[in-house]
Amino acid sequence: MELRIKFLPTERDFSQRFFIAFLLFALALLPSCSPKKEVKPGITVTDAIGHDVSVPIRPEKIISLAPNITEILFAIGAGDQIAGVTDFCTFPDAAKSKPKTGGLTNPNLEAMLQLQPDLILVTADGNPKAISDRAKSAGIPVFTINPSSWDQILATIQLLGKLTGHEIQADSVVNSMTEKAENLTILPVKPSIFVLLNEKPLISAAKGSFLDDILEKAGGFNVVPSGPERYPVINQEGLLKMNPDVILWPSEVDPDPELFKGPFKNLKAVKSGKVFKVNPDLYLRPGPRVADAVADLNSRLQP
Amino acid sequence: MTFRVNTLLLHLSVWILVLIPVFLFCLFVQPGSVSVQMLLNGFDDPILSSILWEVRLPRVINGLMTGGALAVSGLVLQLIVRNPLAEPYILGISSGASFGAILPLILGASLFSFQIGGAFTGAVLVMVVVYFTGLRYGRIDNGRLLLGGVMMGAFVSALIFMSFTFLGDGLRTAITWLMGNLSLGSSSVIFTLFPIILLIILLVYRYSYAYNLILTGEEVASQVGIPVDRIKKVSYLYVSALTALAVCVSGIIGFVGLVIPHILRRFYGFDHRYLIPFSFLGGGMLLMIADWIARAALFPVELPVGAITAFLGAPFFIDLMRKQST
Repeated sequence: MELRIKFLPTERDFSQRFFIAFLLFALALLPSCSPKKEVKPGITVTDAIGHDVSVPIRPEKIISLAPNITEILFAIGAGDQIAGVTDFCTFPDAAKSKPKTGGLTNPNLEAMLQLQPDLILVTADGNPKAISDRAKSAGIPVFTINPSSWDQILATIQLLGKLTGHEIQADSVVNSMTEKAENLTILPVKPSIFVLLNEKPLISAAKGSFLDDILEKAGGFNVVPSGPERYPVINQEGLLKMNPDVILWPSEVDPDPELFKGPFKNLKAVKSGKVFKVNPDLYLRPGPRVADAVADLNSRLQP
Repeated sequence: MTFRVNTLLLHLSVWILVLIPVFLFCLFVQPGSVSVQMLLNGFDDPILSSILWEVRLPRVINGLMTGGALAVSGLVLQLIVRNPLAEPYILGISSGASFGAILPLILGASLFSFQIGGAFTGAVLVMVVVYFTGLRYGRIDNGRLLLGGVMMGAFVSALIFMSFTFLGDGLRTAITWLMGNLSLGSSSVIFTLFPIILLIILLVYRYSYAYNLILTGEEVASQVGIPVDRIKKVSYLYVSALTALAVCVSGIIGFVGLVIPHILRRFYGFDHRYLIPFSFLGGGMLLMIADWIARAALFPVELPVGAITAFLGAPFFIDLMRKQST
């Protein structure tokens, strides 16, 4: 066995020491990397998941992480304050030219931070909580909304009006929505409605989703009872047994023609031709345009 | 248990006597939905007869054929790769089928027939690649086949998860596919596939005696004149076809192919002349019952049947193993 006495550090020891020294140096620098928190004057508001969020007065660089948030902001005149939107924010046209931050479930945190936002608006259902948490720890206020009924949609619009400094416009948006929803023809009988969100498997909206309120306001009612999930997979036999008067298909493409050739050809809605393809953006985004969805559905339900 | 044709027929008749009430139960009983009496009286009502003949009957038959096909695949696969952990999904075939089913969704084709076609094509492609990976000097190398399958499975799963980014609206369909659902196939598809699956299982059954000899040792089997290599290759093709047919209609339903052969070996030993038919019936019954629970538990909401097979099968299997070892 070779006996080695270490008088002088070998080359490898040098590089190791250098590496460790470098690591320590980098570690010491880390705290200074995190963004400096400027204390801006602001208001503290409780959001939909019970967090107290301190929001600067009239935020100028808002990131919206959902299409319905983007629509609300534009509707209340806060469009100029938007710094970034998701890839799915397609309405109004002005939203398309805003910088993109990725999808709903997979927003890109780095792209978001580069925009140096002073407020991030997220939804409780659509966006991952981990992203909100990380944005918060980077010192950016994250405000969560969760409108899951007609009334909550109106309240959310007013709340966002308050946050962005457009309270008056928000009130007028809410008033015009209420007007649209009240200015409807009353139907002689309440038709039963099944919302078809996916064909294979059948997916629908159960009672307790905001879609339910749209159906009620328009004069019909939802056939799917409330359950553990708001958007459950429905048994084919279940659809046959519920036998709705109307089927709503919120999509840009026609449903698979095979779907109504099999057992579903005997459904009341299929026999009477009341399978309606409707604009998914009106019906599926809990924002200002749900009032148009209510009016649209009401006119379709006329006998 | 020594083999006698009479014993086989006796056991077969007992199995079928159990199968019939299970089949009728799954067909007629559905808590929360229409009652048995209404169904029996309501043959004229178009909705009730649709429920019985176009929704439930294909679904129950689908349970029988898919469960049976998966169990027989598992049984034969465990034999040809000499590994008790082998099951149809370990060879990557199911992942291939799933990717094939999801691809049309990405390309924007929502027609269901594209998905079935895609699933079958995907399964066959993976099957061919794994087969050629497993060949060594013209013979099937057990270890290479298994590793090749696992690797292809991992590769295709990676493709699946990457494709999730592009799915958007199709995501729910894709996830349903990955969790298994017996309601996806229409009655015409199921009634076409059922005889094909039965035929393949009959073809597999022809080798049952050869399988017994191969199990005692591949060299011994070749010495007594069994064409071991050819049988292994052909069996691999049969098993892959069975899996592909099962997955292309119903998505991934795990566990049946693993648990049923192991349970049956405890009762019938290693004689494939018993194991093949009873694996088919046992797997079929397990899946029929699991699917009944999937649709009955929260009617009209559905649960993923793949989760239920594992939920029922795993504790039962562990319990059985513990009892055997004491």
